[in-house]
Amino acid sequence: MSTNLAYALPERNGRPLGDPRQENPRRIEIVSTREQRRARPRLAYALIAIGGLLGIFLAQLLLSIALSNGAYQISSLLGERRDLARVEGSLSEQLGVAGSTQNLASNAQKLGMVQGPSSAAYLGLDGQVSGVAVAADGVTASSGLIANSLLGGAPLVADATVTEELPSNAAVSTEGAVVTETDTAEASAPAVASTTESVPSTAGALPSPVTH
Amino acid sequence: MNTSSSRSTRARLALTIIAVFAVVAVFAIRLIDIQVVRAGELSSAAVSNRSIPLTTYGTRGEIVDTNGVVLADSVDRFDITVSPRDVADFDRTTDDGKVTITVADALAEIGEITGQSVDELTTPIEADPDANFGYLTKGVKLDVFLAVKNLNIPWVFDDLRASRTYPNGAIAGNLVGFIGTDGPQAGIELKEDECLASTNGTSTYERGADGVRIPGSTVTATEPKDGGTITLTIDRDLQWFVQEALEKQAVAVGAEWATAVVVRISDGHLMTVADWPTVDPNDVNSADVSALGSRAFSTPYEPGSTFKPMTVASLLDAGTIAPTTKITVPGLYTVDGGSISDSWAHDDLRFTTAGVIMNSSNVGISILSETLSAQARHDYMVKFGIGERTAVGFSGESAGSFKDAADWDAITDKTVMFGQGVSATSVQVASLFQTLGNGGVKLPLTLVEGCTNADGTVTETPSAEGTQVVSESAADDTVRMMETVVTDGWLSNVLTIPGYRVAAKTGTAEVPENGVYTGERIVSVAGIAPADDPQYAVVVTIGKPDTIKTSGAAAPTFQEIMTQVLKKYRVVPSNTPAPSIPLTW
Repeated sequence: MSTNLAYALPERNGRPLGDPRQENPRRIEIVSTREQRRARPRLAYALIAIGGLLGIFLAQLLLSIALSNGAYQISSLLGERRDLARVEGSLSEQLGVAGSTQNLASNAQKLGMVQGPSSAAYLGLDGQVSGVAVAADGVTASSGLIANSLLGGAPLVADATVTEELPSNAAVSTEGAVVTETDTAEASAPAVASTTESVPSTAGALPSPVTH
Repeated sequence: MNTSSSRSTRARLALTIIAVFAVVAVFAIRLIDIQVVRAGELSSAAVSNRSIPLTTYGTRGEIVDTNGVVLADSVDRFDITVSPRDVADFDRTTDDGKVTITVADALAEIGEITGQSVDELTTPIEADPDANFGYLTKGVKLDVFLAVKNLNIPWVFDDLRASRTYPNGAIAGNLVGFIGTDGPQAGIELKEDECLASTNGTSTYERGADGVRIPGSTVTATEPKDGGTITLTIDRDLQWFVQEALEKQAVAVGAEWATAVVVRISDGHLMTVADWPTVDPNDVNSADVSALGSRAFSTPYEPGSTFKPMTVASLLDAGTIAPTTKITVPGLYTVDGGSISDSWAHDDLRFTTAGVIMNSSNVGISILSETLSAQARHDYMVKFGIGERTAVGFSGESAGSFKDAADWDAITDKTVMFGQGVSATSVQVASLFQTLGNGGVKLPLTLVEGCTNADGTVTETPSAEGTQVVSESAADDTVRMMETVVTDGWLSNVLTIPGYRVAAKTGTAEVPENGVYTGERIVSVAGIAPADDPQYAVVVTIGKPDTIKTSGAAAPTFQEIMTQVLKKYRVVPSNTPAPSIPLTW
């Protein structure tokens, strides 16, 4: 039956029917609303933030290690450069002494070379030879009057005997010159006397290669 | 409702808060003190602990010849030093394990490498056992230094010492000079020290405890500046040849000293300035003190007859004589206070100007010089550079001595015309012949081509401005007359160079001592070749020879040197014969 009168259902213990508190008076459950749930901070974002932070720290650590490593590398390379510069200086000093005129002249004399004649013949542009051509006499000019105290007692090139070909010998002698750093200034490379047969020259003609 | 319990809770809470704030305040004050108040001094103290300025060294510049050959070189040498207070036995790790090396063993090892005895090495250690520093060896080369370093002796250290070496020894030793303990002592090393000297720099950066630079720290540095390279006009190979030839002859005739100068006529460059005796800059102590400089620059002497061409050229330029002027030359020429004679006794001879030059007649020159006033002749000689230093300005260069015309007495008035009563250096004589060969245009003598600084700029290049001293025709006529000395003179077969026309003048000068002329002679030969197109002038002077007291002593050396010069520089031989000039009438 319906009436337009409001009426309350009978209450038991002052509570409406179906109330969970009526069934289990000790159990309390707090449920968040949807808005509250949406407003809750997400775990993923937190993990990303922390992870990123850790990543940054890790990257900084690795970069710092690499930087310090580089600094040590620089230091060792600078030291190497200084040492090599010293070796270069020492070698060029030896080269300077070996290239001195006194050394060259005395070595040339030891090899049996003589000084050229005083007069010389000139081939002019007009094909005429002017001047007097004279064969060199067997007399060598006395060398050794002009002192070079850096050369004292250095072995002369003519003492060494070499039988290798020229190109490979050059490679060997440069290597040898780097390794042997002796106190007295010595002529560094041993004499190169090629033992291959030399092509006999035809008188009056320039030697020319045989081509096919 | 305020109960007593809540009041005490609030009281404790307030107390805690006050305590916390007090502690925080202490920290805050401390923080402000360190970070703000004392920030400056603390951070600078920290930086100064980590960054120490290091000296970076510049190297002294080289001296090179005209072809770039190094005459003076800067090299590294090392001092082996010791810390006496740390000297003790030490352990060395070898392949056989740890070995104890005693001090004596270590010193023996060092001595083996440096060539010193153990006693020599213990002297610095025992001299001051508490010292921090002592020298074991000074100035060793790189190989010795590395060998000692490899021994890894903990109380042995090293120091870098910048040194100088002269790879070509005594070649140009008179010119290059040398360095002593106080710095450069002589020669170009001294004169051009401003160009050659280097300046050290500093380098400051933060470094860790093991000396490695802390990355990211700022480096403040003043760059070291290397010295510049001095390029000389000297040719090393020619200088060697000339020095050898000069020494050979000087020793053969028993001379006291000798000089030889080679000038390139076209630009006044000195190709060679040779002295004997001379010095090897690597071994200065073995040279005589008088040989340490360059006599060619520093020691004037009365040149003698090599001045006659200058007199003749001046008179030709003034127009008072001609190459064919005829004069009668008596055996004796008298003036107030004395008389002048020739080197050979003769009756009246009929010479032309050319004949006077060829025979080197003192009387003839005196007669010819009567045609021009003393002041005019004096001024010509000044224009030729007599009595004035050359443009080289070498260390210790002398200007010679040359009196003013007003101070000439009757004898001096004539004797300066043939090079007595006036003194000049070898380079001044060379400059005179350069002028005659260059058509009368005197170019400043040059020894230093330039200073090439470390940054590549070239400074100190010499000026090339010439002065016309005599006319071209006067100079050329004089050269032609000098040719007769070579073709017709008494030294003809010694002075002739096949294929070339050579003009030369001999000189045999008397040497005054205490105002009196002695029996000593200074002989010279000065010449120009080729005479048809002069390229080079050579002056050879031999001082006080014993065995040959005429210019015959210098003549062979002149010929040898001039031949080498002509050959070396590929000078085109003369293809026209010398024109004949009347010598007598």
